[in-house]
Amino acid sequence: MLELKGGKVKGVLCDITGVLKESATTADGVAIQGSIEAIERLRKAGIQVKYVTNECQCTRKSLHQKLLRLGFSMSEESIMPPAFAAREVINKENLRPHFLVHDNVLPDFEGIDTDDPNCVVVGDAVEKFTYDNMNHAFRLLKEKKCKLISLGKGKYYREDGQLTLDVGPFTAALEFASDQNAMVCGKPDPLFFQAGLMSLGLTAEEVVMVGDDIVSDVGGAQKANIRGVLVRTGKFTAQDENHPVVKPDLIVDNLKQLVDVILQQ
Amino acid sequence: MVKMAKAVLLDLSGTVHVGDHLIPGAKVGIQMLKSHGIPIKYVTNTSKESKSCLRNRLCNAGLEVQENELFTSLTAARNYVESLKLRPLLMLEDEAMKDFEGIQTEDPNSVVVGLSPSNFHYKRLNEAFNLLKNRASLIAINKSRYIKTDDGLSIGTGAFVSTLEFASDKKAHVIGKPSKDFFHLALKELDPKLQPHEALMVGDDVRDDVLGAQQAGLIGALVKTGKYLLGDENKYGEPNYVFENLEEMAQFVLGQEKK
Repeated sequence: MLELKGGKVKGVLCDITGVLKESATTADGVAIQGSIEAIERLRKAGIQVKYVTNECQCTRKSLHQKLLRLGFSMSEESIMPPAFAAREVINKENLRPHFLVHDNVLPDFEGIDTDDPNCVVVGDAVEKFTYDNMNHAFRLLKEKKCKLISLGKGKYYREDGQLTLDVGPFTAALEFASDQNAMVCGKPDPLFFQAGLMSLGLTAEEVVMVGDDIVSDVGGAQKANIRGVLVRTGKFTAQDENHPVVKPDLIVDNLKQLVDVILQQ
Repeated sequence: MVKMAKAVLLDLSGTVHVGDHLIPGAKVGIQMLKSHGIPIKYVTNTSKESKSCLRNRLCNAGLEVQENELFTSLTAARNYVESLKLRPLLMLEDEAMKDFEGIQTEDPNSVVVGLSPSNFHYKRLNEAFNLLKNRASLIAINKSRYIKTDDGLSIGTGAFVSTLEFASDKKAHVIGKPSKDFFHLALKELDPKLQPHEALMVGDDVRDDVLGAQQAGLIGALVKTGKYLLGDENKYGEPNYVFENLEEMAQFVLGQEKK
């Protein structure tokens, strides 16, 4: 009998890729079985959900529309991608970024001054990760002393059934070459989860985070004192059941199973 | 404290040459050492070129070098792969592949990473990552952060090794400097009777050349050419000596000899 210890769950921070849907290079991906109904059941029970995602290969609007097409229903504002968190930092600190990100996420950064950059923003740039582009970013960091911002720092995700490199490994490359630590806007940074709590208007004890990435989702949430639940969908592999460092508060087969547990409380 | 250096190990890129040009003072310094019978070995982390290619480049630049004076991390890597009977996915430029001729590469169970801009793109790195996630081992020819090139500093092999280490949670076995084994193997090849404390290592990379050498028991000297940046001598540890260039280094070594 699965059980979630701690206080009654009043709100959920929910990962998107690997929890709601599986990623694919073509079309919108595929909804994970039971996830659409699970979200609907939470809504009917009055449990709020915010979607804390590291998705940065498209705009928030585009991601929202993909989810609607798959059959999910949520507001665009309930989705919290790293680009929005990065925008806040850029505005607050008067930064002028050089972007090494996927072209499709650039509209979410519209209006930002990019002349004479004093910062490098790296995201899930995929095919744009070439030696020349990395070298250009490195030179800005080393020679122009630019600040480094990373949109999330995940190691990999699952797409078309295969594990594929996320932004984290490329951030690690730039950190190593330029001798500096990136500021992470997105999971697993605790501030990102705290922004989620503020958005829900709830305390850490009243919320649970659910994701498929044991380090970024579960470990990150726990560092923000939020219970972290791991799903066995998405990028999950059997090795994650015995992670040397992160011990999830609960491991479930999928989002549907977690919602069963929450609604039993 | 004055230490006697009986032999000199010299880094190449950034210390003797940058690209196709010799660094001022390098040729004179090397000739001074040779004419006084001081044994020299060029110890390089280069992973873009085979030994013969490297020798040609230096000769064309005006420095007479024999292949047997070169100790490269590429050859050390090949020896390592052969000794363990590994089948590598080679992330190397075409020129460097020559040093791996005869090594089986089908059904790879290891990934060997050298300085290879043509391999450092998403698709290829992803391929390497998936092998590592499936039990392959990771071998780094070197873990250099950056190198000096004709148009400034350029991101090095180490950055892309970090990419694969971070993604796969595996640590690379690093063949070249600052690995202790590398310095010891170079000394052994130069003269099996040489003790580490009798050898002076000279280079422009304070961490990989100088501190690495010191940790292997050698005397470490930083030279202010190549990738050297102001303040390097104070940032990471203490080089035994700091020289403007190889000519100044040779004058010092020969000056010690006379005492």
